[in-house]
This record gives sequence, C-alpha cells and structure tokens, in this order.
Amino acid sequence: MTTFRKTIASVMFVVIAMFVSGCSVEDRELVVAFARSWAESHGVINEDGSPTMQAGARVFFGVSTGDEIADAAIDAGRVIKNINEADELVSQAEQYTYDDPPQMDKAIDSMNAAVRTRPDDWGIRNQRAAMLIESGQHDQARRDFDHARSLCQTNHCQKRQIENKIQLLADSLDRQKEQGPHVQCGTYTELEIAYREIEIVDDNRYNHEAYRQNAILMQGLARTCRGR
Amino acid sequence: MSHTRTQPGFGKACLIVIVALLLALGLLVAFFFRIPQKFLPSPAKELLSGTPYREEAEIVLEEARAAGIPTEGISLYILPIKGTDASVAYAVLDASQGFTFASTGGLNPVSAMMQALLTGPQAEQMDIARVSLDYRNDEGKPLFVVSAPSDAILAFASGETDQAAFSAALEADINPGNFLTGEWDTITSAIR
Repeated sequence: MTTFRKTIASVMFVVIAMFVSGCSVEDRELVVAFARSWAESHGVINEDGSPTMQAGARVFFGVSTGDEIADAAIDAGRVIKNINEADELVSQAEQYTYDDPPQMDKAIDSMNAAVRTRPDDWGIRNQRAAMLIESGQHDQARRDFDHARSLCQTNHCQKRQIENKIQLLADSLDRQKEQGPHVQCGTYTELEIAYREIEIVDDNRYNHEAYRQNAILMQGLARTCRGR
Repeated sequence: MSHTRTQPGFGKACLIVIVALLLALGLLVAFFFRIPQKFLPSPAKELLSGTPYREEAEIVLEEARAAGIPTEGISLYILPIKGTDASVAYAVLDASQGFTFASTGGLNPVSAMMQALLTGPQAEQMDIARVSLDYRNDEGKPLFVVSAPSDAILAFASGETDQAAFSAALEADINPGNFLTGEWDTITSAIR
C-alpha cells in the first residue's frame, strides 16, 4: 500500500516536472525537488514520500491557510475573471463614445453592466460618471463620483481615485471639443471639484498652487459655459 | 411465500444503499472538480476587488522582460488589498498563450519568477505584500496557484534563508479536475 502511495506521489512530481518541459534537465530536477520539499513542509507527504490524509483533503476540498490575505491571494483568479469581463464591457462602452455621432445611451448601458460586474471598483464608477456628464446627466455623474470616493478607505487610494477622475474628465473635455464648439458645463464643474479635492490631499509630489489655479480656471469656465 | 415477503424489503434497502453511494460519489466528484467551491464566499472578492494598478502592472512586467524574464503568455494584475496601501501581484502564466518557464541556470524557477516580479524599480516603489503565480495549461485551464509573501521571496533570493524556509512560506492550491481532464495523457505517458 505504501509503495502504491509512493508511486502516486512520484507520478505527481513527474507531472509537475512536465510543466517546465521547456527548461533544462537540471531545472526540472530543481522543480521536482522543490515540489517534494513543499509537500513535506505542508504535511502533504510523509517523510517516506507517501501522501497523507491532508493530501486527500487538499485534492477534494482545498485547504485554508489560516491567513485571509494568503487565501485571497490564492483565490484571486476569480477576481481576475471578473476584471476581464468588466474590461470587455468598458471597452465596448468606449467604442460607442468614439462613434460618429457618439452613442452615449449604449455606452452607458455597457458601463452599467460593468459596474454591476465590479461594484467595488472606483475606476469603473469614475468612467461611468465621465460618460454620464458627456451625455448631460450631471446629477447621476455626481452620485457616481461620490460613490467612487467612498470606496477608498486610505489616503493613497483617494489620491489614485482623484487623479483618475481628473484624467477622465480632461479626456472627455478633449473629446467634446473635437465634436463641436460647446461642451457639457458639468465637465468644468466636476474638474473644479476634482482640483479642489486634490489640492487638499497631502502629497509633496503635487504642485498645490497649480491645482488651485486650475480649480479657479475651471470655476470661471463653468460660470461662462453656455453648454450644448 | 416467506421468500416473496423478504425480497421486496431487501430490494428497498439495497436501493437505498446504492442511491446513498451514488450520492456520496457524486458529491466527491463535484468537490473534485471544485463545483461547490464556486458558490462559496470568495476571500479574494472580499479583499481584492478594488481598482487594479493597471499601468503599474504593465511597467513591472516590462521591467521583468528587460531583466531577461520571457514574459510571453504572462498577464500581471496588481490588486490592492482592501483598507490598506498594500497589494497582491497575481501573474497568470498561460501556456496556451505561449508561456514557458525560462531556464534559470540553477535557480528555483518558481522563486526566480516571483523575484523578477518583485525587484524591478516600479515594483520596489509599491507595497506588494504577496506574489501569486497561476499556471494554466495548453488549453488555458488553471492547474495550480502558488503564492508567497514578498519578504520570504526576497529573503530566499538574497540567500538569507534556504529553500526549506521558502517552501514552508509558500502556499499552493491545485485544481485536480483540470489536472485529470487536461493532463491525462501526460500522466499516463509518465506512468508508462
């Protein structure tokens, strides 16, 4: 029985070595030795090389490491799948905004689906907000920007979120100007808010005076804006 | 007469045992292919669902390429850990997209790959707490994930700790269903 179990363990290690078949023989031996060392240190095989009961538990149920970040880091494939699905929807939405004339309703429908796929992703909410502004729905956009900010629990995250918001609004402004002389006034208003938000973020990389000037400029443009 | 009375009773008991065995077998097969696990709460969705560092991940991968690591078939995601400034680097190594482990000339290929993703200038600026490698086979099916804390990777890379300490710090999960369906030929040829 022990011989049989040892054979199973050996086959497992051979299979692991197959994955690195592009490597040299020396590298493959290293991988097999490493896999054995890992299996021993985690109680998957005994000192004699035969699989333990824990090996069965791992095969059938998977095993928690006892550390939630380690568990999450192993399980992150599910998040990656989610990110890729949302990315496809976002890129679909972007395509609609580049149509001539832009199909903003369809773009926002795609963004709604992306937000449903990744509700905790402030980047996607920022992007939907920028599109909502472009389609004249400033109130909904404001709600999205506020929600996006509330998803950030650290100063570092808030910086990223505001920087991303400024970039998206600046891109939207350029796109709107390419399409005609008038832009949605909400774009200037939200840019003013974003520059004021980033002005108070504590980061010595930032040129706070430049942000203050930009905020004043956007405030002026919002006041004189005639809209679409 | 008594024979005809006991026969139906035995048949029922037998049927119950068979159904129970089939159910148990079905459950084992379902767990083996990780079907129920898909419906359980995901620690990753709870902790790693924030906006990924997209541009930074591209730079880290580019720096790994510049350092001599072949990056074909690798997709890198840097996922922020909820409520902290730290993140997890999660690399999908997809053989169906052309990924092969590079020859490392005597280094452990797993730790060499993890180290390459952690030691470029961009990665050093970031607070990457763990590195995970998700290996996918020629059909793009996930086979196993290995994950290690950054300090264990760096300590092993600098020679402060040995392979035993590194492998003790490494966590792994295999997808046995995909091993069985995707790698059956490899397994049988290895046995022969």
